[in-house]
Amino acid sequence: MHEWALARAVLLSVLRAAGDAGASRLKSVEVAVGELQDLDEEAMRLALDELSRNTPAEGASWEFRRIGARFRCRACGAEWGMGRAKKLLGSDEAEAVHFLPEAVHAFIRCSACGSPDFEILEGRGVWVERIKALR
Amino acid sequence: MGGEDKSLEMRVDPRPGSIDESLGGIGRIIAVVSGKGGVGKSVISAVMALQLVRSGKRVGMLDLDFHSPCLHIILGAGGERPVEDRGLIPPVIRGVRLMSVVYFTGERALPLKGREISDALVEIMTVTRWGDLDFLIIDAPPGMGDELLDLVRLIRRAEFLIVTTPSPLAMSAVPKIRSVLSDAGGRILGVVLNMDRTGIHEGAYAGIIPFDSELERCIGDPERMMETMFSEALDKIVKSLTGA
Repeated sequence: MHEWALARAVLLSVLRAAGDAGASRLKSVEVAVGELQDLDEEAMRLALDELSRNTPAEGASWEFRRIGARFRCRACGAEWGMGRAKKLLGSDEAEAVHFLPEAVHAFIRCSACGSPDFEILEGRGVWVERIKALR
Repeated sequence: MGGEDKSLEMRVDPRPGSIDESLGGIGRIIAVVSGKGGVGKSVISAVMALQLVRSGKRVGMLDLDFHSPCLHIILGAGGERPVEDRGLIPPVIRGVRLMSVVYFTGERALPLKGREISDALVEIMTVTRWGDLDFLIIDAPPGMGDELLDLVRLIRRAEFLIVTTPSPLAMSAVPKIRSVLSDAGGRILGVVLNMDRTGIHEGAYAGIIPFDSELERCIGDPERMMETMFSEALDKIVKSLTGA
């Protein structure tokens, strides 16, 4: 599972932020997960639990907030969501987007005008949003 | 016992901060760049990697040309794919661990711009498990835009090898890319003059490679590529730049 690599990045970033804030132990971490990449949250949680052993994040609860994906055409302004994108992606293509979200630009076009020039407004990637810690 | 509770609000992309660790097992990172296209960066990158493998080095390559990736063509790759194991482990092709966007998009066009290019680069750098390598060679697209600036920013220890041809058009871009790299804090390894037909040249080069009319016929056949005059000239440059 490649979620492991993203979990490792999340943990490094959380430990760095907590260290900068002088936190001694983490209680919970909220992570936003974009819908586009279709990450396996359970795999992320297992990886975070294992990777955080013997760190200030050991035993912290990992909370995930799913962010819906939205796309907007730069040419005509049309917007669409993941439901439409999923209809346009075959299973191999969805897997490619799972590994590299930007691959979506190879597989879909604007549903209104056919332009390849569209942007992902939201729902791409992973962010750390909130850390609750003990000082 | 127990300290005071603290809540930290943020919106942090965790990926860029993990790149140094992802590259931790790699000795040297050399990015092959140019101001103009068509100067032979990709062939130089690929043959340099093959020569380092021949010298017994562990070598990885990253094809950073998202719009026109071609290292897989030069190396004569088949249908190899990365293995998913706590990240993505790139396949070994002709002894080189090659990561490329073609594993995800096939031969379809990938029209990316601006932030999308940066996001794709950061994602690949975050999830790729290179393992222990002596060299990572990065084949960058031409120009001084997103990919070049991101490389300097995200991989502080990258060394940049500039490629040009004797054409006045290509030569005019050399001082520009030098100045961008220098202003951004990038370390310049040197300038290679490729496809030289005159033998007359001014300026200091890390090396000069004569034009080799046979080279184009060897694309996709690394064994033949390694027997060319081009390869012989590049080998001397690689040895002098890397000590390999």
